[in-house]
Amino acid sequence: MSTIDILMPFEQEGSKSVIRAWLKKPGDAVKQDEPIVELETDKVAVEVPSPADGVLQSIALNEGDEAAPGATLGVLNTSAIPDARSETPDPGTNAKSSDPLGLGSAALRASGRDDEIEMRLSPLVKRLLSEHKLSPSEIAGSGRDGRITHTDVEAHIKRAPLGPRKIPHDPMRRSIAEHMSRSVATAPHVTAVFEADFTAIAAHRAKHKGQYEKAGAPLTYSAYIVRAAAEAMRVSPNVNARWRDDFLEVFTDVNIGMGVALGEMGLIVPVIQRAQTLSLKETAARLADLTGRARSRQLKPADVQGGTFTISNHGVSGSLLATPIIINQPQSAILGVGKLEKRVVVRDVNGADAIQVRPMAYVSLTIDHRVIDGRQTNVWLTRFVEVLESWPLED
Amino acid sequence: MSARAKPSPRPAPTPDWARVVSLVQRSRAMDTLEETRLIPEKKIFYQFSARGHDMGQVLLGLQLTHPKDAICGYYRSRPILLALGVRLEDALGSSMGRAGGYSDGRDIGAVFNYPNAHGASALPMCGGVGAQYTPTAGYAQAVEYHRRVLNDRAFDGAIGVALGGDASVATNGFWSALTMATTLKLPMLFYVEDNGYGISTPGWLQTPGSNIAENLASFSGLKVYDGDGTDPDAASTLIREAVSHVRAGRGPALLRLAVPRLQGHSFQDTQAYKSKDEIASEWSRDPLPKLKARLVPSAMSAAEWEALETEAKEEVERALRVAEQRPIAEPRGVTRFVFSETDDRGKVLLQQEGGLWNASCARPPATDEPTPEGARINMITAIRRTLDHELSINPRVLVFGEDVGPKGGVHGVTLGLQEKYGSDRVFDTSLSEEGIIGRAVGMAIAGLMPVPEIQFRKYADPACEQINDCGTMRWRTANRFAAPMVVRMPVGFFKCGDPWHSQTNEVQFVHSPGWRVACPSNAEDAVGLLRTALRGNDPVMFLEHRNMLDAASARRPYPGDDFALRFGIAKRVREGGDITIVTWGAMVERCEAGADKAGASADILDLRTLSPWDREAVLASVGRTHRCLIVHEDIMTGGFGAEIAAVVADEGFLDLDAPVARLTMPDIPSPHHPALMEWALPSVERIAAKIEEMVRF
Repeated sequence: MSTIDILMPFEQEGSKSVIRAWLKKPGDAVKQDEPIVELETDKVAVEVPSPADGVLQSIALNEGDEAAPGATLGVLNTSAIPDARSETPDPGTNAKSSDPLGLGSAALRASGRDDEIEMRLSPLVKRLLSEHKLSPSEIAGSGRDGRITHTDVEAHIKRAPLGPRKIPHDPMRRSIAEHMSRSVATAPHVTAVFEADFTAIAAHRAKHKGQYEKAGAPLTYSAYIVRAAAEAMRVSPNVNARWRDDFLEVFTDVNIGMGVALGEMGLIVPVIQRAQTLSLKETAARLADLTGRARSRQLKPADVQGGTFTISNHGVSGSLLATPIIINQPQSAILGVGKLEKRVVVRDVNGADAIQVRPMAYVSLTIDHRVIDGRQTNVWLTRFVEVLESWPLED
Repeated sequence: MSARAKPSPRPAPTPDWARVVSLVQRSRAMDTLEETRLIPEKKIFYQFSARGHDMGQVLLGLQLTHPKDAICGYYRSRPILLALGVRLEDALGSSMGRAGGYSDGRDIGAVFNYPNAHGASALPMCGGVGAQYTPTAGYAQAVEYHRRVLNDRAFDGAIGVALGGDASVATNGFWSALTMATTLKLPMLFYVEDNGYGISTPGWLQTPGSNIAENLASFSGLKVYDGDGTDPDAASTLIREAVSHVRAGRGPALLRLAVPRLQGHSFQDTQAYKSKDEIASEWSRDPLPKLKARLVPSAMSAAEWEALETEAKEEVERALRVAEQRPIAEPRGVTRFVFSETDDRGKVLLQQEGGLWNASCARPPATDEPTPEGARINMITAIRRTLDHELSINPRVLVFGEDVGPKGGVHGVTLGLQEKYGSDRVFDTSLSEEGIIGRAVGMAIAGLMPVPEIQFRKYADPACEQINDCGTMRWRTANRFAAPMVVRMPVGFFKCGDPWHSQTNEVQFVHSPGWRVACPSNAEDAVGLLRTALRGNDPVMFLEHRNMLDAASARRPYPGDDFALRFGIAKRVREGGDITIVTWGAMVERCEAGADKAGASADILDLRTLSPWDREAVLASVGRTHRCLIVHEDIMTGGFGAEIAAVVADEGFLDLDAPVARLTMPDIPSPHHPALMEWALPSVERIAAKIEEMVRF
């Protein structure tokens, strides 16, 4: 929007000038050189003309105010479309001026409600709104008195998506919907949240990642998480179980599925079989292979079968915490790892509280409360966090 | 000088008295039937008995033996129709408003018409008294035209007969026709049946002394006969002499026969204004007993007379039975035959009588593609050239009006045409617009293509009755008759205005069913529309805008001698998307300038014709632009723009994003001073402002 200040002329006959009358009010359209305001000195009365075409936006000095030479009298908006209303003569007093013959449609001449927006819709506009299932409240009117014109409707239609978007379900969407609904209906989901300090992990990784990389096992945080999860199963084995009607099937092998996001294609969960037997290096290697093949759509059915536990690395895409994370049936628990970020924490240093900055992440375990209770959950999480936080620097 | 009836001891060699009796008895029986049964039974609603007038009319009808004779009468003319051969069942069926007959039930039974290819016809009568005279004069003039210009010997000796009552001699049409018949020496007989009354108004108010024959005794060029219409010999002799006079080409004649009106004007009339003595006196003059006394026993026996009477009554009963079998026409069909129609294959459903096409005129080639040739010419030249060409290829075309001959018309359009085609084909008329249009009606029915000119739009006022009745002729005769013609009329403003010369008022003719209305804005359209009209089968108002006749913006190269533009097709003079402007005539150039001034993208449609008008083009345009402005010169209220606006608001409702607007002159006559006139006319500035207003709405 561009504006011009309407200035008090510098040279005036007489001593001081006073605003005698504003000839336009804010909102009125003005043409260049059209008189906008009348000034009065002790000698003469003077008209100040508009410096350009536009709309009078605001008045700085009121009638009766003294105006110093060069003072700003008001502001002219030169990019505004003149309010069409102001150009239509008041039908009460001035109907003759634009329609001296008394001809012409009253609808065109008279804008009936001086300060209200024209809410009435023309037949064409009504039809278009109906055809496109639009509400007039969605559309700004650029016609006289703010009337919605057919071009306004058509412009709106061009901008907006065509009607509500209707995306047909693909099989994957249906599958996810079914799985999620069933899981929630089957298992009473409860979530416990711990936080983990990744300082030790970060240090180990920094030291060893080059070497791991060379060995074909690129070190990711996920590898440590898988190892820690497998370790935690020792102290809380029922987390690695399956609810049966009459018994609980507790698995020996910890087959950990890792969620891999595939963009538009959704999520796939390749499984690291017998994770409890793998070293960090083996875990990293297995992870790299599985996620790589997942992303290139080269997983085999066996790669996604047999999982007993699942990890959701949701923090990678920014979430600090997510709950509940829906359990991957027929498993009994799912680990969520939130965003890793530096936080201020309190640590005991030499017996005193000290504020430190550490890489922290919230870790959550969502459990099937038929299978596990709160104590087992927290036992598991305690050990999980402990493994992460106490990771030795050397292999 | 009136002829005196010669006493005759024996029945004259003519007429065929038995036939006279038979016809009069039929007429009487029909009168009685209607009065005593059909009216009380509510089978007819308008009833005019002819008792007292019947013998005279029958005698006259039996004299009209020439195949090209024509009569035109009024509501009490049934007896002569019977004498010409109209069937009783048609007469009764028409009275009862049944299908068939004169009008398929569209008109009352008393308004007759009788197309007759082999004998005397009855030109379509009108409900208005006095309207019969000028068409009859026109028919008589057409007889002369056929004889002298077309050299058609079949018309030798043919005459036109106008029948009217004594009150009709006060009408405008009577005097206009009298002027024509006498100044042009037309083969026309004025037959005035004087019963002393026009409904209840006595004859002395219609002509001083109540006797038109006495008053016209010294009228130059008119042979006047006057006598007793109830005396069989006297009436018969006078009629024969009058008819012979006219047939011999000795000029027009007027025959007045005094007759009694033996019943009220119509069934509704109780004649309370007549004394008992008067009525008794009238009945004493009943021609029927006089006829009986005259014929029985000298010409026939009483038994023969009775037999004729009985047979007549039986015939009427038979005819009634036939007529009552006739259905009522399909109501849905009542909208048909306002204009000339074609069948599914495009073949014209031709009227029985009237128009060029009935005369087996060869159809010249025509195209709606203009082939412009040469330099641009103005509308005057273009119209003249078109008239010239059509006059040259169609000997049935004739051009007439006030001052169109040697002067070439007050606007110069017909300059040189009389010199080229002679005064039989291009001629000046008397100063009577009723006469100009009325005679054109008669000429058209006689198979000519008359091109009458009305000197200025406003001067058509006196011709309104003839204009309206011409327009409705096809409809009210259910396509038995039509009178195609081209009426040329200057309209609109010129360098100054005024109430008498600058009217447009096209809508009046659109509002008269049966008329086509053309309003070209330029020379090319003028040629195309005029040519189509001159070769067409409908009456056309060809409106020549005075300011466009020589305007630069109206000049075009001549589009060719075959260029014939169909009516009802608008021309898009400019294409645009913001607003539709519908206009015609002198406003077209102003709309173009107005759109330029407003900087608007306007779809400007020049309608070119108002009846029919191109609704489809207008609605399609509004479908694209969503705004409609109509600009016309005629006044606002009820101007043709109101019709367009109503149609657009109705059929284009869902396409409209702004009110349908009209820009016109205010509801005033045209002001004279140019400054006043220009202020009242839609100006370029005003048009531009209106366009801007609508586009911003």
